[in-house]
Amino acid sequence: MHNVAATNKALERTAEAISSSVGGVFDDLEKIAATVSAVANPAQGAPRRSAYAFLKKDLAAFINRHSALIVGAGIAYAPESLPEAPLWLEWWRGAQAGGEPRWVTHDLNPESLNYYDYTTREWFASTSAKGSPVAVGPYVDIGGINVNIITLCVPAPTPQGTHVLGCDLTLAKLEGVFLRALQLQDPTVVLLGPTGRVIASNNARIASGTLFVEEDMKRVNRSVDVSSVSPARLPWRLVTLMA
Amino acid sequence: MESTALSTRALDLLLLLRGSEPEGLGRADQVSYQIETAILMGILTEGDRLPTESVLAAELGISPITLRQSLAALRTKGLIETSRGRSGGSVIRGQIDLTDTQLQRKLRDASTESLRDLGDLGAAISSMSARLAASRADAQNVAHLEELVQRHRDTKDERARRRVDSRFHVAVSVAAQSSRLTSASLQLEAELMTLWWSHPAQADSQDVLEEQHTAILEAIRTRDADAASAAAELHSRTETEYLIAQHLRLTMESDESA
Repeated sequence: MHNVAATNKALERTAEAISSSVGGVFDDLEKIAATVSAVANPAQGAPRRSAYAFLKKDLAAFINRHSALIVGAGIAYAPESLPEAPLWLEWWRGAQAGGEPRWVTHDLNPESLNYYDYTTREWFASTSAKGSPVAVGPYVDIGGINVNIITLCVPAPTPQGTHVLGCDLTLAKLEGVFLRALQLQDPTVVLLGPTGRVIASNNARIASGTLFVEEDMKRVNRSVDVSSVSPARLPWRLVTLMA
Repeated sequence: MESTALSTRALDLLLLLRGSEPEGLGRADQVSYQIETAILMGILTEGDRLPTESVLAAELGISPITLRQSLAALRTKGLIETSRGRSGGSVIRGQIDLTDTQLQRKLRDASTESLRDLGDLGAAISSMSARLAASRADAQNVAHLEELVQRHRDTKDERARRRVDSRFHVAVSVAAQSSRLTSASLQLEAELMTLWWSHPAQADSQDVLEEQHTAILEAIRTRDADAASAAAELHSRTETEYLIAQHLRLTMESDESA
């Protein structure tokens, strides 16, 4: 029999650690989104791409500031919103030794096998449809950075449409936050995404990226929302499992 | 000095390691890496004599000058010795042993997700290899597998046993008569070799691994493809779970906030 009070305390501590680190990233990304919305002045017609040139520097600073958690960030413009191209995506990945983030190439050619049609990807589609911030994933970003990631997304509404700013969280970094806060091997604790996807766990049999099915859900003992303040933005929960 | 000419099989395995090296290395460094990996995996062992420079360079598809650079790097590390003259040539002289600290750090800095992903690939490779081996392994292949299972059981040294374990997995792919599966298996085992770290408290898990090897071997011997595939998959999953459990423990123990 494990100590219930100690488990509860560990759950609270872990929820707080995750919610405050991810929350800090969301807050900064929302500030950048506000500057994007501010550029688009309805009186002057659709801004050209150069009007958003400041983003390169701002996002680089953002990536470096949050390098303990994120590996990249960028902006996906609303379709047909820029005069230069129907679709446009600008994404950067953090460099290893704190240098300048590198540009990530996406294949925007519809004829290509590797065509990255971001308008159909969940992270873009759901953020622009809902018009509110959301954490999407974990999912394997094929054609993007090809690894299993979580994308934090924030909308930047403009008269030309809703652009989406996002940043990529790797499961590896998030797992570190989870385990170091948890400090518990028993009982089994799992960090679950909204669809039942396992984000992290302290049990080797329940690996990140696997899916919790109905049968696993029956074993759930306790459930704690990670972010009680804004569950829509961060719809994750910590659950303990019966042995 | 004591030495024996490298077997064709070992040379073939060495050649299959091409492509496992990290990106961004020059050709000479790639070849050094390939040979170092082969030593790490026990494909090349102390006393093995490499073919003459011209033969080896031709097999590796590089110029003799590039090969000499690779060999010089290995010599500096004390991994090979080269003598001149008619009976001269390069002989493997060292074994690479990553320290416990190196292995622990590498395993801690990995993520459950990347280990699971590696394990998924490993399960796919090993279960298909075992399935094919059940119908394709000849008497000689089976004898070689038997020998490796036996050697794994008899080897007391933890690291040496780990190398024999890798050899067994690769040998199953060889018995499947598939060079692509063998190559994939080798590269995967090479990667696992840099992560495996044994915790003394879990030494009894050794028995489980031995039983699983025996089950794979028996299924291949009796030509039961489904059983061979299932046994290999189970074995692969057990190893992955073991690695993830160690990784979780090491991460929780580390106090640094990344």
